[in-house]
This record gives sequence, C-alpha cells and structure tokens, in this order.
Amino acid sequence: MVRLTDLHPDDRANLTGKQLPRFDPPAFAPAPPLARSRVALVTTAGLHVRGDRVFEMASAEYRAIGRETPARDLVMSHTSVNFDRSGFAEDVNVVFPIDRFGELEASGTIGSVADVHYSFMGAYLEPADYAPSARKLATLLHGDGVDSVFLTPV
Amino acid sequence: MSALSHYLEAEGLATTGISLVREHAEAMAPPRSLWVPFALGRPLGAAADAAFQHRVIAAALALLDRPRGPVLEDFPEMAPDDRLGEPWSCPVRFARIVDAQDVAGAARAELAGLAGWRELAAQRRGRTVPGSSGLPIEECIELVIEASRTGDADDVRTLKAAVEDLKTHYVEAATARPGAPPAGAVDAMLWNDSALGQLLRRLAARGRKSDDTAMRFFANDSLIPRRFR
Repeated sequence: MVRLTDLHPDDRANLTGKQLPRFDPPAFAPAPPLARSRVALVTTAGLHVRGDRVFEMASAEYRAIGRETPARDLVMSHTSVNFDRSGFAEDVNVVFPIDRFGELEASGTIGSVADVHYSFMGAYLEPADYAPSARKLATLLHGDGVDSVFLTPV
Repeated sequence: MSALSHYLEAEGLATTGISLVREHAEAMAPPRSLWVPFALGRPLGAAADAAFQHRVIAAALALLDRPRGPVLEDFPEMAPDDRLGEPWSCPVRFARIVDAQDVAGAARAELAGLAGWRELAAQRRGRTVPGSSGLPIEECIELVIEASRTGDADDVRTLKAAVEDLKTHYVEAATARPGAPPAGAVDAMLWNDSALGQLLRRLAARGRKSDDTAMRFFANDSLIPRRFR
C-alpha cells in the first residue's frame, strides 16, 4: 500500500471525501539549527499513558506523555479501526519514535528532547476542530522551551 | 496532522513531520512534510528497525533547514516488509467453528487457546498493549458476548475499549515470535478466520438495530474495518 490508489475502495473513498482546508496565508516559522533545537513529538495516534482517559469517539483533546514514560505504560485508544496496529504492538517507535529522538539527543544531532510529548486522536473531526487545542498546546510547548515539533500520524 | 502543523507553526513553533496520505498533504500544504510510502498505522515504516526509522526521521528533520514553505518531499525507500516480501507465518491457530449456534463458546475457547502465545509475546517484548478498557481480558470477552446477544451495552465506550483490547490481545498472540508481520496480516486472519471475528460481526449486525445512537455509530463506523465489511 503506497498510494490512495492502492487502498481498498471504501478506504480510498473515505480519505478522498474529507474536507481539506488550505490555509491562507500558510504559516511558516523559521527553525533554529537542528543541533540547538529542543524537539517535542506530537502524534495523532491516540496514545496515552495506561490509566489516563481513553479518547472519546471524536475528540480534539490531547494527552501528555512524559519523556521517561516506559513503552510498557503506553496504550492506544484511537477509535478508528482502519489502520494496522501490529507494528505498534511490536515497537512503539514505529508510531512514536521517542527512543530514536533520545538517540539523536545523545549523538548531538538535536539539541535536546522535550520533557513532555503529546498525542491527539485524529478521527471523525474536521481539521479546524483542532485549532483551540493546538493553540493551548503551543503555550505548553513554549513553556517547556520547545522550538521544533516532529509530527507523526497513524 | 497537516492542520496541527499549521496551527503550531502559526504560534511560532517550527514543525516537520510524516504524511501517510500524499493527496492530503498536497491539498492542505503543511509547512514541512515528508510523504512516506508506508501502511497506515506505521508512519516510521518498520517496527524494531532503528536504522530504518532513523533514515525516515533524518529525512523529515532535514526539511527544517528550508527557508520557506510549504515543503512536501517524498521518502525514497519502501518499508522493508514491502521491499522484501518475505512470507510471514502466524504461530496461532484460530478456532474452527463447527457449531454456528455457539460462536460465543468458540470465541471463549479461542481466547483461552491464545494464552500461551500471548504470554510469550509479553515476555519477549517486556510490555503489553491492551489496557484501554481497564478490564481483565476474560471480562472483555464476556462484555462483547453479552452485547452481541442483546445488541446494546450500558456503556458503549467501555464496550469499544473491550473490543480493542481483545483485538490487540490477538495481535500480540499472533506476533509472539520476533518480527512484525506485514501490515494488515493479523487483521485479515482475525476478521476472516477467527471466532472473535464472527462474534464481532454478530455484534455489528445487532448493534446497527439498537435504539442507542452511540451503539449504532459504533456498530456502523467504529467496529469492523471498511475493507472487511
């Protein structure tokens, strides 16, 4: 599966049927040199710490994940059933590459890894529904000294 | 994902990331995005392959150097599973249902039969993924059996979480041996060959007739993957 044309027709119809706004003017913030950047991970995979609130059927909320949270304490309550979960079962990094970023910090490729990372659950809502949560999240990220964000979908 | 990029960037945070659906990234034009030819659910392409994951991350981080956007680039490599095409062998035998009147009993027996593989998987990985429902797996199956009988549930959210915990339990058992299977391989077995799959199809059929809006939504849209309906 590499393109929409490779998907099951029903999955393709669902993905092509979404309302996709184009942001005008497009936002663009300059990034600091990578070796001095402080990076946070943000995923829409519906991850959270075991025992935290599961995501509702449609939710624009986010959940915080501490940098030191062990992989064994992360669960996925994404409500969509239309993606593979066996990769995540094998290795959390295939969705949430926290170990890889720790290695990049250790090697000096990036300046540092943020203390807290975040997960949304991307399903059933329109893109604009995420604006209020994203703005609140930006405040938290600035508070943690973050200047760069690495985003992963699912 | 593209929308989050835009909103965060508008607040002064530089973003880069993965896009799994190129057509969406083309349409929404996030500031910096790397399209990857990987399966939905595997944005880094390969589980337990740190070198490959690092190549994906490096390609996405390189976009942070661009002086202006939007930038959309393609990752040039296929996922190893797709490239190598090696056959995957599932260690688990799913229940053969000889009595269609006792799908519930077959599902209970099937679940019990997975215990050894699932324990092996948990030992090998040092972690286990189910847990959204907060219920023991034996209670999850009973919740689903009862809902499949009545077509209703006291708490659809807990029912949904129980279903996901059961499915993930199956995924863990089926992947007890090292190496992730090709994307979708376990799903295909679960929905096409297992007693749990039959039980969930029965739950969907009954749930669609429920008077409860949440139950109907769950049964119609958030239970059976579109490609297996």
